[in-house]
Amino acid sequence: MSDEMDEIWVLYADDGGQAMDAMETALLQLQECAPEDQPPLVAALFRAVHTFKGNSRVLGLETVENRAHLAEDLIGLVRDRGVALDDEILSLLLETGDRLREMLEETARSRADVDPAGTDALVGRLRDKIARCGMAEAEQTPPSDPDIADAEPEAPEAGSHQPAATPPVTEPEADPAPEAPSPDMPAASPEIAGPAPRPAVQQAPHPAPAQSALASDAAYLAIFNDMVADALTKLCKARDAGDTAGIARVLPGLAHAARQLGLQAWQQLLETLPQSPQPGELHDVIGAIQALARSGAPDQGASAAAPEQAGFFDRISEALETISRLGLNYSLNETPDETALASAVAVLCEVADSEGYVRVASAARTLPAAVDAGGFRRSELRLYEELASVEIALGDTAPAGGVSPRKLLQNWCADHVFETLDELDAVLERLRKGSDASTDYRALERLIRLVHHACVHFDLNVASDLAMSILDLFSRGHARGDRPDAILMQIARGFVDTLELVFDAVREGETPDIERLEELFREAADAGFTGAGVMTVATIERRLGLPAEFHRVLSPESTRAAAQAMEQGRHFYLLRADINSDDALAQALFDLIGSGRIEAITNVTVFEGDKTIFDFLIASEQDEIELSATLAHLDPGGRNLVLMRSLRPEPEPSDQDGTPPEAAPDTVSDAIPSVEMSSEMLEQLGEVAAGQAMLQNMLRDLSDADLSETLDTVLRQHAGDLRSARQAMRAVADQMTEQLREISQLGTQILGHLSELQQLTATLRTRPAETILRPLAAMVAAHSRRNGFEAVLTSLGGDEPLDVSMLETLRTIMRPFLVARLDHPMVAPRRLHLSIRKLDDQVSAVLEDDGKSEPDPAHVAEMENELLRHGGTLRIVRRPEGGFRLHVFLPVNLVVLEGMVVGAEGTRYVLPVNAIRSIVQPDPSALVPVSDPDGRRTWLRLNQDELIPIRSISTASGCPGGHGRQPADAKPKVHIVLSLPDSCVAVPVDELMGQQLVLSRPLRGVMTGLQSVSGVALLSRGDVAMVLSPASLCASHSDARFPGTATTH
Amino acid sequence: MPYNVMIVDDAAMMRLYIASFIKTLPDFKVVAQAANGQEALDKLADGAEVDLILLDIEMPVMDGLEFLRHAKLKTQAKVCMLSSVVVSGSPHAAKARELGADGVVAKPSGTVSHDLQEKTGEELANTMRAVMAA
Repeated sequence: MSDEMDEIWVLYADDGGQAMDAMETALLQLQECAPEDQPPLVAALFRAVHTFKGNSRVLGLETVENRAHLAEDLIGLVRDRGVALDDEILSLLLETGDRLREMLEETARSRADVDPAGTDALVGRLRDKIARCGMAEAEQTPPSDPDIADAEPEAPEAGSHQPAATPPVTEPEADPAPEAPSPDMPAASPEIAGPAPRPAVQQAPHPAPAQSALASDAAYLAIFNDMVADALTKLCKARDAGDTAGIARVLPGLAHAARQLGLQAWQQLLETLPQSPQPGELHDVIGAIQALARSGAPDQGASAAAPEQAGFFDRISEALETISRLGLNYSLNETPDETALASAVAVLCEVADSEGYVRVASAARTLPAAVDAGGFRRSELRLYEELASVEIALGDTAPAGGVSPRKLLQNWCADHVFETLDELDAVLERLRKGSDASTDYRALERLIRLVHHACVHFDLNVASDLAMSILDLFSRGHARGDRPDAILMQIARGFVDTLELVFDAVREGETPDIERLEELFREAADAGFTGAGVMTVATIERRLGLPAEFHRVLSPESTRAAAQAMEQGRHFYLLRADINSDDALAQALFDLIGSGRIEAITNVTVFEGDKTIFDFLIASEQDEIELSATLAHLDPGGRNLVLMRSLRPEPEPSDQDGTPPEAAPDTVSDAIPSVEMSSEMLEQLGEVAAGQAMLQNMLRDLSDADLSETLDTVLRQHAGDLRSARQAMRAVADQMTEQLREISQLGTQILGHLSELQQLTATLRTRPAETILRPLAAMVAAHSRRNGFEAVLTSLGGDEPLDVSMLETLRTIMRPFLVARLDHPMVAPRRLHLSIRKLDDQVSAVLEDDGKSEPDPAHVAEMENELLRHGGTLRIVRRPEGGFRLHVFLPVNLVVLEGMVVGAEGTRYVLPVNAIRSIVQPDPSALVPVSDPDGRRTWLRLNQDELIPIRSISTASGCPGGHGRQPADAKPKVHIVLSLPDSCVAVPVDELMGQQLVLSRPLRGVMTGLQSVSGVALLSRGDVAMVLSPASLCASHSDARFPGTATTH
Repeated sequence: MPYNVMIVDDAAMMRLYIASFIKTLPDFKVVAQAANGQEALDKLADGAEVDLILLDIEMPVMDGLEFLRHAKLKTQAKVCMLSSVVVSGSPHAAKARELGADGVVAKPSGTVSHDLQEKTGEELANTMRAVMAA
């Protein structure tokens, strides 16, 4: 024997020994462990036996392989079919393990297979147990069928899916189906892997459709039940009225539905009833339908036929069990017992014939004709397909008392998925070469459906969906008469290749890597686009920053149009159109689209109750001012056509290499460009993440270090002499201090990065008020011109930087109000002025209106409601010279500010640094009692000429705390002097905590009632602080804010 | 005899466009229109004789996929999905196939595709004919 063979036998002995050790270890652990801990051990057990079996096969040790295979099947029942791991199984497997180890030793020594007779008894017990487990599972848990475990024809080893010595599944059968094919259903295919499951209505006068999913969907039976009830209502009405004019379609419609679902009892009944019953016949017709409907409540559709059909599955379950077991034997190279097979087939045929299921009987009769394991396997599939069709037609209750053919079919597909994938690969190759496309497309569809069933069996949802998606892509191309393009072929090939790996992993008890499948799904989604040579939908979505509702709705045409518009540098907008109930406006909009001034790239539906609205993605040469004017012509009220946003296409990645993105066109954007994360922010985030990870590691090291133990060790090393150990102990302490210092520094760095991130975020979200002021001005001009007069809107504060949400709110409030003001030319304003100003905690917008009419109360109420929703207020003041002034105040949300953190009366506060004029610790003599209209108070003398009021924070804010007065003998507190352009106030605090960048968030709930508090902020140490409003603090002392104006006592 | 077509789409303009396109096909004739699945079912129950249903998916009251289930039982008409959400490779397209749609065609420019005839007319006509011939 060659050295090479010697080496192989040594390897076999080594690997086999390890496998047996692993098997033994797993079994011993399984004896002790809790049920919830079993799955990984069972998987390990399966792998060990599987490996051993594979090694034995490689060396041609058939008996060893056979015994290992049986053990593997038994473990497989536990692993995959939910069979309980009882003592009998454990004992049997332990015994099998011992025998396999003996066989290993013997074969390694003799280098030949063992005598099978020595393990006959064990084989018998294993088979018996497998059969009993299968039966028990079928009886107890109908949804998962154990029979298929017995039917598993071949070991699921990695190599088994290579084309076998037996012919592949498409080899012509020896016994084609004898019955005539239905017109819309392929004849019993000469290929064993026949069409997808279909309702078995073999003797129905009308063909049943071939869509398994149609009837397997429980919703269909519910619909059928409704139809029966509806039919009865109509028939009863007709009987009572003695008028059959309106029921001509009732019974034919019901019969059609019954055929579609394959409800045989219903079909038989409806075929015997008159299609258009006369009044005298109605009584009997109604009675017959009611009787059948009642016969199987609660589910009329399924249960109507259930009494007999459930019996059908009960009656054939034993025969099916026998066939499955014989199939397993065949795959183990044991010729089936002809008598047992003939007997099982006879039972099947007799029962099927008695029910009229001639296709089932026909499939069963092909089993004895099989000349090898492959032929037997193909006949089994056909039988399961036919039985699944019966089950599907009968509904979910059909297999309750017996086996579930649908599950059998899924199991069969799972067991034979490698052969199916091989065949699919071959069909793809033929399609690639341009063979007879029609034949191959049919085969392709059938095979993909088989793969789909296999995926469903293993709960591989992504794969099962991808299968149908690929089927859809091929079907479309076929409908167009196209040959499959290279990309689609590549996806399909990738699908086959990946699934082979996935199923292999599943069979090995490993978690499959489905990442590639998900990637293929994305490729499949883009197939139509890349095939058309345009940008992918993902590219367009990304570059335009399209909102979620536009995800995956861009067709190839839309994608191409968007790409062209981008290349031409056109502007993109989102337009909301409420046009479904206004044909004239819809027509006007589409005329505009047709004119070429705007191009509708795509649109999506937005539902508001039963109302349908559309969001259009449009491209145009027009900038926003022009487009606003254009739209205002179509929809003067501005209520049905709303320009929601403008979209600025992100530059191509190649543009970013070295060259800055092209400056955006100089257009006004009330559309608030989308806020995106900059690369700088990403960097900061990266720094934070890295710093946090480092911090985590350092803290872990620190917590792992046992200081006491270290010190004890040092002491022991110095024989307990503290004096001599002192230096070493100090070194330990110093090291720990150094570690803490590093942690502290790192923490500070992270805080710094976070602060910068906050600042960057706030900056990114900021736009100048001009963003909405210019479009509003354009709208006023266009709208007034259209109404026959000239009105002008001037503005102030266009440079004020405001958060995008604030701008959006202001625009939402102002635009409809202005439109309404311009609707009545005689009294409409001619001059409007809008001034926007940002204060520290609120934004003020003041609209001057010289119109001759009062604002419409309804519009004012609408505006107030909108403002209220955002925590704002509205005030309208009449102007002496005519017209009015409208004051809008909106609280500022999410502001990042540099704050001074202070403590006062047990609470933390933040004061904006830019409002702090000075911080003083006054001499007691500087605290001056003053009488003011509110009583006697203490003021602060800052200098000879300046006396300012002191305001206690707790009093001002209403937060719990002190009364704001200081005991006469107490040392004066530190005072923070806040200064605004026209007022000043001193705020006493207990402690200064230092400056910090904070994110001020809006107040919510009961906190909204706090005065002089504009928001809350989370401090770096995790404390929560109130953000104070200097304007509010100063406001209550506005009567005494100027130096020298107060009365000194 | 031209085949009778029912258009089921919640967008009034889209129904107009589809009907206008079908007028150009001598072998098809629009005999009914509905704004959602329920309305379509009602029209079928009222006796509308329909050979082919052109069906949108995203509709209020009853969407296209739910209607497809009903249609498979309540009418012998063929069903061709015509929707913006059945672009190639989309989950909706796969679901429509699974539920037994006889044909699937994506609208070219979204829910309301004014350019249906120009961009997808030929594909739609071919699919309608293939569906009826099957």
